[in-house]
Amino acid sequence: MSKGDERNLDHCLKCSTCHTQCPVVANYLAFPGPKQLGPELERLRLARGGKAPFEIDEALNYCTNCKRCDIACPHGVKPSYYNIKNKAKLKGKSLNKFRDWILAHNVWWGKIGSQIPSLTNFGLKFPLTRLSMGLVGVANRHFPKYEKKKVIISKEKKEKKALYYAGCYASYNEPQIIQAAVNILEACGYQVELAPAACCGTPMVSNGLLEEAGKLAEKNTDIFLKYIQQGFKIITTCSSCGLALKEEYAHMLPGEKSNRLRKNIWDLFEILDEEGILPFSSSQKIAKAYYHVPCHLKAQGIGVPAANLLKAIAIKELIIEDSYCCGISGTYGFKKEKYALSMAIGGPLFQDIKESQVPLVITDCGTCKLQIEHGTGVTVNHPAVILENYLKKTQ
Amino acid sequence: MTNKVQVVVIGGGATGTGILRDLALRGIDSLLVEQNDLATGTSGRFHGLLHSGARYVVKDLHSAEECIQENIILKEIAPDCIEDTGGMFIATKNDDLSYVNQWLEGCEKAGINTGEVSAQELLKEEPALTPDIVKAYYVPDAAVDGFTLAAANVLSANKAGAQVKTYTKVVGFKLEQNKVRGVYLQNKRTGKEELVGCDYVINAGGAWAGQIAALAGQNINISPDKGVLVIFNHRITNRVLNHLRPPGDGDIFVPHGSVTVFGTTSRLTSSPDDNEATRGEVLELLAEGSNLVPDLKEMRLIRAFAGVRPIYQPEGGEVGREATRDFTLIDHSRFTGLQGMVSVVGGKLTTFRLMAKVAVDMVAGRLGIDKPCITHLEKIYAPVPRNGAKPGEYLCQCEMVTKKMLDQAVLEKEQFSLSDVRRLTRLGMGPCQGTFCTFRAAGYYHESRGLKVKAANKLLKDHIEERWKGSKAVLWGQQAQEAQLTRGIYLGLLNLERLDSDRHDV
Ligand SMILES: Cc1cc2nc3c(=O)[nH]c(=O)nc-3n(C[C@H](O)[C@H](O)[C@H](O)COP(=O)(O)OP(=O)(O)OC[C@H]3O[C@@H](n4cnc5c(N)ncnc54)[C@H](O)[C@@H]3O)c2cc1C
Ligand code: SF4
Ligand code: SF4
Repeated sequence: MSKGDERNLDHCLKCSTCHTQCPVVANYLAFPGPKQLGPELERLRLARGGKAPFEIDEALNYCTNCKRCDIACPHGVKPSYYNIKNKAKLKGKSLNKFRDWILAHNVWWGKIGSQIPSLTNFGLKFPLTRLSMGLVGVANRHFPKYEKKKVIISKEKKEKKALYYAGCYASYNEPQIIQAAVNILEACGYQVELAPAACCGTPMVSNGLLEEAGKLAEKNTDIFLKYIQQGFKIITTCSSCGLALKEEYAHMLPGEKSNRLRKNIWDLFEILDEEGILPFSSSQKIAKAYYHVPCHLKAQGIGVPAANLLKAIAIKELIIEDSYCCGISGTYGFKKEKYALSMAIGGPLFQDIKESQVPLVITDCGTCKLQIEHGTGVTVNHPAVILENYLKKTQ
Repeated sequence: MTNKVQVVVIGGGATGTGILRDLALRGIDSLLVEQNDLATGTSGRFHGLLHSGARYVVKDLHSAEECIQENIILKEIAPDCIEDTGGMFIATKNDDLSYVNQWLEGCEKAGINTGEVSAQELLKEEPALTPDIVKAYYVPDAAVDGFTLAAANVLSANKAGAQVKTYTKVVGFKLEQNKVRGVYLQNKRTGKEELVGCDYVINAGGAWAGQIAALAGQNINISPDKGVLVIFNHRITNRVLNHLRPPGDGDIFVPHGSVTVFGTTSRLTSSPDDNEATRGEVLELLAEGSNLVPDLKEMRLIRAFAGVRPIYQPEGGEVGREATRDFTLIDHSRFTGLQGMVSVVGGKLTTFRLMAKVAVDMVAGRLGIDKPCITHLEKIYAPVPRNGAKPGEYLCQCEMVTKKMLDQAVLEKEQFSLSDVRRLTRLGMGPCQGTFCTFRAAGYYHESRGLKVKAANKLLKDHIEERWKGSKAVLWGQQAQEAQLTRGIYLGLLNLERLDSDRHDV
């Protein structure tokens, strides 16, 4: 155990604040909650030389890795990190392991799927495919469509350089986000390049494949640092990718490298906010929308820059709501045994959206979008897509 | 109950309970009396190290030999009470290396296996250690739980027919013609006195043995020697850590369940009841310990306490000594002619079984019973086993104590305190020091044992006060914050000061 983690352990006062904020606890009483699974059991695991697992470790599988506990803790303990670390040691049922492995490697399926989208999308709807997915423990729900699109980027050299890291969801399922981000950055005076990096590793981390995620993190860090050296800022539009690069990597590869990396990672709207760039203005505003704050954006501790910007320039009435977890948590809601729980966690959010009678929901996270559309039927869009549309209107 | 037994054993520490078990297994009708709960004397206020003997090989080879012999036996017969963590001795670059050779020679002579390990390899397994290690060796040390040990001895003795009275103090002896005929007992809770007749008394009063003997007009010259210990929130090392140098202050870390016990010191004190650790003593210890564990001062302390060793100083010209150099069996008839009383003093917890054997061999002989000691052949078991439970069943989450364990801990007890329960279960021994389990446990007993509200409130009040006492000397950093939370809950939310309760125990 690294020294930092041990000190974290010492900080826990048992106050249970984290427990009250865990969305899984609220919907599944048998879940021991972050306080117990994290700092409490960690002490006892150490007592066994970190070797023998506890029976109740099985429950770790139900942690969504939403990180609401980390934000809630008034004492800087990060219970979710113990969960991640110990999940990796679990010996689960082999079938579920297989399924988790498939879901953790969404980047591969993404690559294949987006090469031949129509075939894959047909396959995902085909009853036999659905049946076999059911057999390996994947929930019978809509899958994101795979899409491929060529991104158009200007070749002009500029002073300000941005390396845009799109992440899996935008790359394989919603490439219009990539184009939107590129257009926005260019409009703000950036020379943009697309990052030659694949998955950030979050799905692997959530599915307990820590070692693999660590290797990936190392590889990605080296790629990013090369660009940082040349004066690039790394820009993300996916909350989970952003959190991984800022926080998760620092836990997996503590040291100078990850420290340098985290200082150069920016959410697209975070950098717009930081630089105070608002080159757009128009009277054609969207009347009403609902902004859902993704848990992993919350965990980045940067507030809600996208919502603030959109509210200031593009939307007349924007409801900004950060009290709900949508329940999908990446690949979690795709698992058969967790599907119902995932929908229950999202329940209050769905209801709030329906009651506010909005035609549009905005959120930064791709899987939040899938879940909210699935739970409410309301259209959900990425803030970059909204802003870019608005940008087109102003030009 | 009958008010005549063959032997009365005084003192419910490791020695007394070990003696009771040995007597019972030889079929001798016996009663043990303890003024508080079991293991509330030094046996509950010690370091928790089942010595391999390696600490003593240079200064006291004989003692080391006894330790390793008992170490092997106890690991075999008392697995519930012992965690076989293994131990290590490390010398740093500031230590005198000529001592290392002397030490290795001693271990060889005593028959203690040592295995050298490179600093590099050891640091991989024990990352908290100082990088300044020059020499390191593994030894067969282990951790032993004094509370469980005493309770397991008693459970075994009970099964063989022996009786135990706790919260019962010996207040006098019935002597006739210079022979002990019985002991006067006082129940500390009710104040009632009674006389129990007997043929023999074995005084296993530890640091109090002198006071007890004085009740029979006997003089045992015991100087109480205080040792301070601190408890860290979690395990710092996985093995017992010893400083490889001539034994001194602050050179042993014992991983004990979920915590680490570190100490100790040695200072003469005025009374065996002086068991408070001061802040100054704690700071001195931490400074010393930082030589082995550099980050020590930043780690969270949850408690500090002290225990008292009985240092026995035989008076000149004494003839009644019949023992090893480590512990002493005093046959009072040889000094003053008083028949029917022996006292056992000194020793270590590690050698309690041997001490019991030597004492019972003598007493059995006097009683004309020639059954041999069999305490090394039969296992002993914890009365409250720790079994797996489901989350949600834990009343104390820090230490994973279940309702079932609370039931087992008070089985056949008319009256009990949460401290009694704690000693058997570890209730409230974790980082929150009873903040979250005390009200739950009080509530649980209120319901399951049908306690009156005032009685349940008393359980709560006593326990919170007791936990507070032990954390006073380490109130800084996180533990100070924890104490504020405790204060908020008990003084604020629950209005503890005005809580209507039965009278406090003093
Ligand atoms: C700080 C410290 C650290 C130690 N560390 C270790 C270690 O790591 N390993 C090890 O092997 N040894 C260690 N020891 C030594 C060991 O703890 C003791 O040798 C051992 O616990 C003594 O047990 P005991 O039963 O003789 O005495 P105690 O446990 O003190 O038992 C005596 C009992 O007699 C009771 N009593 C007193 N007066 C009366 C009366 N009038 N009526 C009824 N009952 C009465 C007391 O309440 C007490 O419970 C340590 C000692 C100290 C002080
Ligand atoms: S990460 Fe989320 S689901 Fe997991 S314990 Fe923390 S709050 Fe609960
Ligand atoms: S982890 Fe933080 S919030 Fe949770 S119980 Fe500990 S101190 Fe409280």
